[in-house]
This record gives sequence, structure tokens and C-alpha cells, in this order.
Amino acid sequence: MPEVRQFSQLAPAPLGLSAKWWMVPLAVVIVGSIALAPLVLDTYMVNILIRAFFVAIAAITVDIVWGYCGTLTFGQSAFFGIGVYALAIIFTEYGFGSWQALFAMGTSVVVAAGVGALTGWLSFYPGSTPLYASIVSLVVPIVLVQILYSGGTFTGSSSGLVGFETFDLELESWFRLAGLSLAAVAVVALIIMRSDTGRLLKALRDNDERCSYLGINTSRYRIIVLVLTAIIASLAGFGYAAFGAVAAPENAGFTFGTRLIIMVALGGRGTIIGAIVGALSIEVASAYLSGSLPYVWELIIGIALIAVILAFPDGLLGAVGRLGRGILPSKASATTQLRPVATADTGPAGSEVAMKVTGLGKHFGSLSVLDGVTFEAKRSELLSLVGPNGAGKTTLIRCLSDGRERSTGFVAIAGHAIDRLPPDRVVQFGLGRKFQAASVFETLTVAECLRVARTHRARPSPVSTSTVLELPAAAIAVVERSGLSDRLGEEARNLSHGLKQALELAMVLALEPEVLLLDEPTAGLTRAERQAFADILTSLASRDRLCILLVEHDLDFVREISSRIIVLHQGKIALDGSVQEVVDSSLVREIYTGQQAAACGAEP
Amino acid sequence: MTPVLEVEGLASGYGTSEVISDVSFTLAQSEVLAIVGKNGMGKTSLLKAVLGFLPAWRGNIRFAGRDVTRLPPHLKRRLGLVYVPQEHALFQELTIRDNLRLGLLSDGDFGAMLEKVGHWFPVLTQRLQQRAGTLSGGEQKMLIVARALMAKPTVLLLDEVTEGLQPSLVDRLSEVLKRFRQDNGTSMVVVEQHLPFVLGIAGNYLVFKRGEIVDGARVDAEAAERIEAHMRI
Amino acid sequence: MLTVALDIVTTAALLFIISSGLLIVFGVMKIINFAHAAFVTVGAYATLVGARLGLPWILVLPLAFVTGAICGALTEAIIVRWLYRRPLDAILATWGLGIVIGQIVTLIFGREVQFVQAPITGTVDLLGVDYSAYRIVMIGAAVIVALVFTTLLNGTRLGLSTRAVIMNEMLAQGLGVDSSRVRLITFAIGSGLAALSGALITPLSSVDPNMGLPWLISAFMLVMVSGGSLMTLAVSSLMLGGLQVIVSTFVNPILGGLTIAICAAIVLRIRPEGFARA
Repeated sequence: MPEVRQFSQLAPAPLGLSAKWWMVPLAVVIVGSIALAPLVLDTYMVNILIRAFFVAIAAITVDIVWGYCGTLTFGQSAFFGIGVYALAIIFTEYGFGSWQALFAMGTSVVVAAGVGALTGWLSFYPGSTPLYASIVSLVVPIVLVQILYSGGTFTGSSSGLVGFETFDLELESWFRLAGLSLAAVAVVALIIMRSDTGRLLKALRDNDERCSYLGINTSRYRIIVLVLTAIIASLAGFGYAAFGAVAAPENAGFTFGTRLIIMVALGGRGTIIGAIVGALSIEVASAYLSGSLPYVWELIIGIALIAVILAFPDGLLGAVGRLGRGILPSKASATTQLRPVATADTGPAGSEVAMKVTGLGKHFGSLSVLDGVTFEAKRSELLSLVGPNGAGKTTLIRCLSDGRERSTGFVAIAGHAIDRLPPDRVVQFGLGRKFQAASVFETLTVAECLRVARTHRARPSPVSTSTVLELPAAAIAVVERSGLSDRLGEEARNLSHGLKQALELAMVLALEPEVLLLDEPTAGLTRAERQAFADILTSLASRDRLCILLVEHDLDFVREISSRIIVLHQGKIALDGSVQEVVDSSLVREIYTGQQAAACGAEP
Repeated sequence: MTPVLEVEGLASGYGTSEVISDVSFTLAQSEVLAIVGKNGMGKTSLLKAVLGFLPAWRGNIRFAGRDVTRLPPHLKRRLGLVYVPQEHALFQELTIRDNLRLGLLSDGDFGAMLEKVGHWFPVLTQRLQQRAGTLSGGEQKMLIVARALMAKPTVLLLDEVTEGLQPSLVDRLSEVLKRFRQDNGTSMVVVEQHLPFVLGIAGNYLVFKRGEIVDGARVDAEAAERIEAHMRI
Repeated sequence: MLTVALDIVTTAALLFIISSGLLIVFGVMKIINFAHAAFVTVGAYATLVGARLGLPWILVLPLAFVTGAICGALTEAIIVRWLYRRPLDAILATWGLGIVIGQIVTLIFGREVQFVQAPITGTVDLLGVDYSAYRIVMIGAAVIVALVFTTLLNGTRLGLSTRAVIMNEMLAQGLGVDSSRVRLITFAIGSGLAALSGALITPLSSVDPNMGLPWLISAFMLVMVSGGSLMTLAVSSLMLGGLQVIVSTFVNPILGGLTIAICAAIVLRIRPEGFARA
């Protein structure tokens, strides 16, 4: 039975949704308030709040897409508007009734999902940038509004649609319905965002490339999130129009979309609660103030937005949270247990060839960086790739891990041809790549980074946060040796250069790869650390039968641990053989020291 | 003789965490000081604090007798304090030529200095129009050093300059730096992991551990041993 | 037919002038200034004030430029300076500023639409077609703007320092560049350009607090598609502006308004660098 080691997190653990004693009383208070409030508040306020509740649901979707996934979206208003108009148009055309209501709801969901999928396809693809996604999110509501304007009487053009018959409920019932819907959406959102899936979304926001190289299809996740939030936003719009019995193009436009962002920014992005606070505050304040001070109110909002972005990027909630953390005693931290995972079956003995490369070439116009590279690497081989500067080593690593990089040639990893597949697919064949500069998730803790790294092997739960971190023995070894085990609760951005490197290595090993690509892994490590690293690599090759390819400059290191060396020179393989053959070769001496002789005119 | 650089009781860090504490050392003209120590001990942060990229929480820094503690980085450069960073040291999108141009404060002497670059690292002057981002790691290091030397620094701060370089290039670098120091009287602070390189050019060394200086002496035959004893713990 | 062609060229010229300020700020700083539209409006209102004071046009244009440059300098110093590491937040903060400026303008000048007389009235006979003389002048203005700013950016030491600062500010500082000053100057110039374009378009349309907004989206898309090069911006303005005119004239004005946005979004999807280095 493998030993379970326990390490405590040093930082206070974030408020998770594991069962806490105050949850039930809080739920009772919230539900109670929603049920009783309409009896206490005046009619005007109740009206405002009902609308505000639906808007807050839309704001929550904005927070999910922006605060958690990192895409600044002006377009959630378009989905809200789809819900609004689906109801308005169908009730106008076909009157009111239960089948019309269902039809309208169905249309709202289907159209929102469709537009969301299209927007997602347009915005999220390998190589897209967050800025481009923002641009697309800007264009969608503009296009939608223009469509509404040109719809004639069908859509009501610029005046919108009014006077259609809708659900007949008491004001109090509407209040309870809207309030409880908001509460329900909030609870579900909080659960998911606090879970391991929520961490994954934050990882997408922090470092999309690292996620790809952990086998995660980032585009797919983002599109799914967008489609789901589109559906929810459209249902919020549906409710809004069902209550208000009015549909106007302003409900779908870019200005409203910006308004939602402002609400989330002011309330506090990435918290869900912040979106609710922001939405309710602004809707209520707008209702009361924009009548008496129209221009000044807008002015205040503008100034507030600027102030928040500059001074309180975490919004109101963030500021309060920071105060709270100063006053309240820090909670006892939850412990994270590190548990070695049973190593996956190392595959049939027959599949010996882990990496096969034939005629690989990479050209930039007439400049040839790699040419005719051909070699095979087996499991348990520790293959070092050496060569003078400009030989093309990092380029080769890129071409092995990303099917779209090479210009010509064939590459197969663990028996699978990589064709033109993107990195996340290649990684799934059993490849792990460690970058030269430490590539981790800055705002996540060490433990969370490692957990995200396990995504491909162990699907994260959308509901809970596990306190047990299962890692392969090799990853645990790195975590312990480097001292990361004492800092599992620390945010990655506070780690030093060397520790980030160690963290990235552990994350890559967490993938349980068959083939490991390392780009100058010992850069910046001390001799002791280098020795430890050599031991790890050697055992990975011999015990776990990994095929390891490392790019290295430290020839002593290379000589000590490699079973085979490939010398790359000016984009071609100059030599491929055992350590002895290469070290003794006069060609190698010429390649390495010959240049030196020419440059300074003196023999070392 | 006034030391060219004096650091006294310097303390600095990021956010709330103090990364360097009570660091003091002096640097004479033509002196090469090695700063060695394990990974993550704050050596780069020390250089950044000296330059002003990190705030000086306590202590002071004097350059040729003048207090420069609060001086912003670009003004320190104008005084002759030149930095060779470990990471992000080049403008990847600019050509070699433009990267080198930025080594000087104005374009006036560029032609003459370019010739010098050609002596130190000929490969650079052969490909002036090439974008720096397409160079290999070693070529990039050469470019960074060339750019720094062009500035005729009074004090050169080198951060892990040999990282990722093949041995022959490390030797070349060592040569170029030694010769440059001889000709120009430049003082250097060299932060390094590569002991043979740094002990080959330094006259004195300091061992840096957990943000503090724990040992220091002249470089002699036993220096390597003493230093490794520190690194092992 | 010739009228359409002239419309295309003048629309392109107009788009180019409006977008170039945004391009300079973005192409060099990677920050999208969502207050750009507000600066256009500021320039237009500066023109209004100038016209009311009876200033000749030759003074009104520099007045607009300077007003815009000052607004830009203030914006950079107070807001944008702190947001270089957070480009998406810069979009939001400048959007907030746009709202603030719009409201201030409304509070001072009121909501109504105002008009400004063109400095050159009448038409010109071009190959048998009577075309607005002022519009023709706009083309010349666009060319001058392009030339002046390309030279500044690529031909001067200041331009090199500017590019360096925004690629890597810390590195540039370490090399002796006063990055704060460089950013301030660039932003001021870009904003001045926005105000100048506002001044130039006032005779063609009207002046109201929200006049800049429709141009913002089109300018934004053109900048994205041009990837940082003024030359490419000129070409894009011509191509997409032309498309917009054609669609507006022959198909549907509403669709015409959308043309630039939709085409740009599609182009960027297929080719993220846009038309740059084509």
C-alpha cells in the first residue's frame, strides 16, 4: 500500500463549498428574504429588483466568461436579447399560451446555443488571442441589433415590441421566481467555479499554451463555456421580457453588454457574488438616480469604472475581502495529501519504438532551419540532442510536439503519426514537453497547478475540490526534492525561477508521458540539483521505460546520463551514436571548438 | 580611491516578501566580483534592486561617491551602470542592428562601435538585418553582451550570462570580457552558476544565500571548493 | 460610377485619418484606446468653439490637434500608464473615460446636434462629375498624415525608442530610454490625431456628443486587420471602406454599416495577422 504523505498548505485555503456549518442557516436566510421581501418593500422597488435579478443572472454569465475564463466579452447582451426577442416575437405572432411559452423557451435556448457556438467557433481556435475574442464579442451584438432594426414589424425595428400578452403572475410571485432563479444560478455557478473544473478554467485564463501542452483542448472548453452561458443568459432575457412585456433593441446591444461588464468589474470579477452585487447595485441606483441626475449618474459610473480598474481591480468584493483577511484570523488550512498513483501499464512489450522521425524539415522561405532529420528513438532511451548555437534544436522540439510546425517530413509519437495535429492531441499520444522558460499557472497554487496537470488523466470534478493529489511517483519525487512540498499552498507567481522550473517538470511528469521532451532543463540549477535531476531522468528511463529526449549544453551532464547522443549542426544530423562514439569523434570536436578557433584565433 | 559602486545594507523584495536583506559590498575600478549561490536565493533580485527595478526598502547605493538609491533605472544607465539581464534581454521583433543601436544612447558612434562588435562576435555583424527572435540561444547571448559592451560601461552587471551556452562560447565570452576589462577598466558584478567561468574572471566572490551574503573572499585555488561546500547544504 | 469611385476614395481617406491615431497607439503600445471616439468628439467640439470664436480654419486644425494631444497626455498619465500589463483592462478603463468625456461634453454643450461650416465650399468639376471640393481635400490630408507619421516612427531615434519601450519596457529602461516620456508622447500624438480627424469630419456631418462612436468600431476593426503598419492601414481602409460604400449604395445602408466589422472579423479568423506582411 503506497504511503500517503501529508503536506499542509501555508496560505489560507479559499472558501470552498465543502459542507460548513453556516450553510444551512444562510440558505434559510436567503430563501426567507426572497419570500418575505415583497411584503416589506414598496412596489417600485420590487419592480426594479425583479428586473435586476434577471440582469444579475446575465452578469453572472459575464463573470464566468471574463472573470474565470479570461475573455473580455461585450456580447453576452446578445444572448440576453435573443431570449427577450424569442419570447416577444412568438407571443406577438402566436399569442400567449403554454405551447407558445414552451416554443419560445425552446427557441431561445436553441438560437442562443447556436449563436454561442458560432461565436465560439469564430473566437476560439488554436492561435486566437484574447483580444480577437473580445473583438468578435463586440461584433455579435452590433450585428444582432442591426438585424433587429431591419426586421420591420416582425421585430419592431427601433421601437421594439410591446403589448404582447404574457404570463400573468402576481408581483410577489414574480419577485420570488426571479429571486430564487438568481439564487439557484448563483449556487450552481459557485459550486462549479470552486470545483476542480473551475480551477481548470482559471488555468485556461492564465496560460493557454501550457494547457494545450497538458493535453487539454482549450478551444473546446471555451466554446462549451460560451454555449452554456449563452443559454443561461438567454433564459434570463426570457424571464426579463416575460415580466416586463417589452422587447427593445437596447436589451441586445453593445451598450448593455458593456453595462454588464461594468457591473462585474465594480462588484468584483471572478467571484460570482461580485457580479450579483454589482448588477443589483447599479440597476437599483440607475433606476432611482437616472431620473433626477441623468448625465451625472452616467458620469459617476464612468468615473467609478476607471477608479475600479485602476485601484481596485478586484472590485468591491476584492477590497472587502482584503479588509476581511486583515481583520479575521486566518483559517486553519486544509491539508493536501500527495498520493502516488498506480503507474499505468507501460504498454505491450512489442511497441518499442517511441519516436520515429523521417525526413523532417522546417523552412522559412529560403532559410532552412531543419533539413532531412531522420532518427528513431526507443523506450528506455535517454537521448541527448546537442549542437552548437543555431543548429535548430529548439525548432526540432517544436516540430516533434506540434504537428503544424514542420514544413516536411513524418513524425510519429508512441506509434501514432502526428500529422498536422495541434499540441493537445499530440500530448494525448503520450508526449510531455517541458519548456525552456518555466511555463506554469501564475494565479493558481502549486497544488492546483499539479491538479490541472492531471486533467488529461483524471477528469476534474465539476462539483468538488479534491484534497488528495494523486501523482505518479516521479512527479512526487520532483515535488519533494525541490522543496515544493512545503509550498503547496503558495501561488505559483511567488515562486523563484528555479522552483517554477521544478513545478513545470512535475506538471509534465504528472501526464505520465511515454516520451519526454526537455529543453535545457538544467539551466539555472546548482550542481546538487543537477545531480538529483540526473537521477530522476535515469530512473524515468530505466524504471518507467520513458523515452527521453533532452536538449542540453552541459556536456558533462550529457555524458553522464545519456545512452545516445545526436549532434545537430546547421539543421542536419551530423552524428548519431553512443556516448563513446560521439565524445571521441573528431567531427564533434571540430563542430564545437572549430568555431572557437576561427573566432579568436587562439587554441584553448 | 572611491569605489566605483558601493552597496550598503540594501533590502528589497516583491510585494510583502523580502527577498534580499542587509546586502553590502563594494566594487573598485577594474574589479570583477562574482556572486554565486543556489537557485532561487535572490541573486537576480539583487541586481534588479541595485538597478532600481525593485524598490530599495532600506539601505543605500552609491555610484562613484554619489547617492543613486532612488535614481530610476534609465538614469542609472546613463551614468554607466549597464545591465545584462538573464531573461527577456532582447527585442525579439527588432533586427540585430536595431537591438545594437539601442545599446548606445544615440546613433552618433554607432558605426565605430559596430566595428568593435565585429571583432568580438563576427557572426552578429554578418546578419544585421535578421530579427533577433530568429537567432539561436547562444547567438542571442552574444548579441546581448555585445550590446552591453558597446555602451562602454563603467560597471557591468551580468546575470547568468553563460546559461545555455556551449563550452567554446563560454571560453570566448570569458576572453572578450577579460580583454575588455583590461582595455577599459570596467568593473563587473557577475552573477553565475557556472563556477569555472566565473572563477576564471573574478578577483573576489560573494556567496549569496536566502537573500543574504554569507561568505566572501578573494578567488584563489581553494575558492571553488569553499563555494561548493555552501551550495551543497 | 465615377461618383461611387470618388465616394470610395474619400471614405477610405476619412477612415484612414480616424484610424491612424488608434493605430499608432495600438500598433506601438498594444493598448486599444476606447476613448478614441471621445477624442474625435473633443476635436469636433474644439472646432465648434473655434468656429464660434471666428478663427480661420488654418488655426482651428492645430487647435483641435493640441486639444486632443493634451487630453491624450492627461489620459496616459492618469489612466493608461498603470494598465500596460493589463491591455483588456485598458480597453475598459478608456471606455469609462469615453463615457465620462461624453457626459462632460453634454453637460457643457448640451445634447443637440450642431453644425460647422466647411472651409471650402462648393464643388469641383472632375471629369464631368461635380464633386464636393472639401471631400477631395480630405484625400490630401490623409496622405500627409500617413507620410508624417511613418517617417516619425521608422525613421527617427524617437520612433525606435518608442517601439523598444512597448516591446519590453524594463529592458528599454535598462538601456537608458525614458519610457514614461516616450509613452506619454506617443499617446498624446495618437490622441491629437483623433481630435484632428474629428475636426476634419465636422463639415461633412454634424457635431453631437456621441458622434465618434460609430467610427470607433470601424476604426478598431481596421486597426486589427492592419497589424501595426500604416501602409497596410491605408490599403485596408481602401479595400474595406470601398466594400462598405458599394454595399451601402447597391444593397442596403444598414448592411453597409456592418460590412467593415463583419469582413474584418472573418479576415482575422482566417489570417490572424490580418493583411499585415501580405
